[in-house]
Amino acid sequence: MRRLLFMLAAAAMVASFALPAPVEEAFAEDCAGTNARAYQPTYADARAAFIRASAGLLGASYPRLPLLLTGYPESTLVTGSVPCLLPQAIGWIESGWRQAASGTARGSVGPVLTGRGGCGVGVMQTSTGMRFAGELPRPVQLAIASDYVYNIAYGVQILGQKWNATPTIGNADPTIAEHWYYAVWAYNAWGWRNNPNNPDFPWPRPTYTGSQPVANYPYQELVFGLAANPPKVNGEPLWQAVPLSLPDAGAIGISPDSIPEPLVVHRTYCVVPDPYIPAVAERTGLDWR
Amino acid sequence: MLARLLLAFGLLLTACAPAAGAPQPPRDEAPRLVVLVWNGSTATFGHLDVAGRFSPRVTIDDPAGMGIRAALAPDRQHLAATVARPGRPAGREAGLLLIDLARGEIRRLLDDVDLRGRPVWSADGNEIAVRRVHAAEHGTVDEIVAVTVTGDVRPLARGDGALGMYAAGWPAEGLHILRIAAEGSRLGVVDSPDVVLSAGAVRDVSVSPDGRWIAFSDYSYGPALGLLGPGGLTRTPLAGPFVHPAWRPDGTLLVAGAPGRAESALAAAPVPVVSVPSSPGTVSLPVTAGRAGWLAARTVRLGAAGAVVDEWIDLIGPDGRRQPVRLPGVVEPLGWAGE
Repeated sequence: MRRLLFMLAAAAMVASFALPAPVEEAFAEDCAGTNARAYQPTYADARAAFIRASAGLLGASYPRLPLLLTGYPESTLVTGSVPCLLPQAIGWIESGWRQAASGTARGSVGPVLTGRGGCGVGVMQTSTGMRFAGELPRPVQLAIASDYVYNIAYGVQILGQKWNATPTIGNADPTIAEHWYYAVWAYNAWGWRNNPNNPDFPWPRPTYTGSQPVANYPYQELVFGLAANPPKVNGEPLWQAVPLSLPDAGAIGISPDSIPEPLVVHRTYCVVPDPYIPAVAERTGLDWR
Repeated sequence: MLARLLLAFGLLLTACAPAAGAPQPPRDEAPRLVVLVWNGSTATFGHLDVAGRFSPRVTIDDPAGMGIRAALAPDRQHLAATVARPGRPAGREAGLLLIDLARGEIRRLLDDVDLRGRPVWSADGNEIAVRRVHAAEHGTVDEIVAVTVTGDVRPLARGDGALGMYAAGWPAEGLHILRIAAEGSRLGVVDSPDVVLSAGAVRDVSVSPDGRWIAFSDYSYGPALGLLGPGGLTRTPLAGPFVHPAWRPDGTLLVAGAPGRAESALAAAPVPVVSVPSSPGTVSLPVTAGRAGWLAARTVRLGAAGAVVDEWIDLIGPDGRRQPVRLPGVVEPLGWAGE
């Protein structure tokens, strides 16, 4: 009998070591900043903040882009910027450019927009540092939750950190929007869940235009698709459409590593103050450099 | 007067009769395709007849616009569907619904399932396999559970460091589970050893009607049809850009065609394989074939660099004639009924 009990106990130990231990998920009541109130930006407010944050034109009191690793295979750290349309498309997918709850009219103040299944808050739905009170200094958490400009700048900063932390595409030129494919992927979750070869996603699939099921696409394809198909407000697109190319999914494989750029790529510029000035140059692999 | 009445009655009877040489099955046995039509905020399940007419049966809300994964039961009357519940963490954000198409009834079977994992019915129609994703100390852990139609749940498998785990088909011998890890793709029945399918990620795994063969798409080294069966594993490269295998009830395997190019390599495959004809600039991907010889295919038009620029559903008859179907929204064929 003792031997049987020992064997059962041993078997239970083996099972408990063999399987990764589940952990408690974050619940909304644990997240930081959920009681904040926030100004709901107008579309013009949000657009200006996106452009200034992406171009590094906000003041020193806002989160700043890190120096960006540039070049491949040799890389150097440079002062760079993020193609403006990427944070704008991310912000649209994350929140519809809302800092406050969806019932709050633009131009007025209301309760902060809280996470959809996580601790994300505000326009960029950033959860990094917001999983519990004190994970970041309280004034920072409060600013992320209550100030849409700060929230956008913080999201852009994280996107820059993801650029530095993910493998390169092409020669890792941050002015080329397609080279941010991995960084946008990592902004949501750098893992198999967003791998374009994940069989959860239909294949082949058309470019995301905003009218297909979200669950049919990895996150970065939602963002790249919206870059080419900007939502319209009063008949006007929120940003200049750019038909971004996707990298070869076959080259990405199961374990993403540095890959060549797509055949056609787009060098984009943040233009202040008018984002509708043509700010994109398309090139193929042969006729530009 | 009487003669004119008899003539009119005769003409009426003639008009109602089936056309000579084209015997029609009784109305309630006519082939009908069960489809899901998703339009951004709702999903409607219903029947599509072979002329392309849609008869909606059940509509459910999808306010988050996430989309719905659905599977038709072996009885061709019930559906299992995962539907997003806003505010839940990724991988546990959906509820599993049981839908009775004939009665229009909907019942919630289980919460906290992965929206992206397609439900899979057991061959006897008594259980549904779905995936749940659990947060773990380092990343996440996938779990496949079986849910009975009365809502009882039993765990079947848990991830062991794999990148992803998928319920891939549930014939009488047991549930096939596809595991994808850094080393490649493996497939196995629950509690049995896995077989390595590919060094890359495979997709479109489907089990033959007799349960002896597993077909899948493998794009690791160019498009290829993978077949796992009694004789082992074979890999047949295809000329076209896509594979997308689907079984006919008679055991013939259908694959996507390649416009203008012969698929001579298919003759060497260990089961009969037929490629679906495609017109220039398009590729028809077989989705589901019925006993009466009808096939539903997803046809895509390819633009520059092979990108999909348009898509629609083709109903392809036993004689090869096509009925294109375009409905407002995204149409997904789920299986044939009424045969």
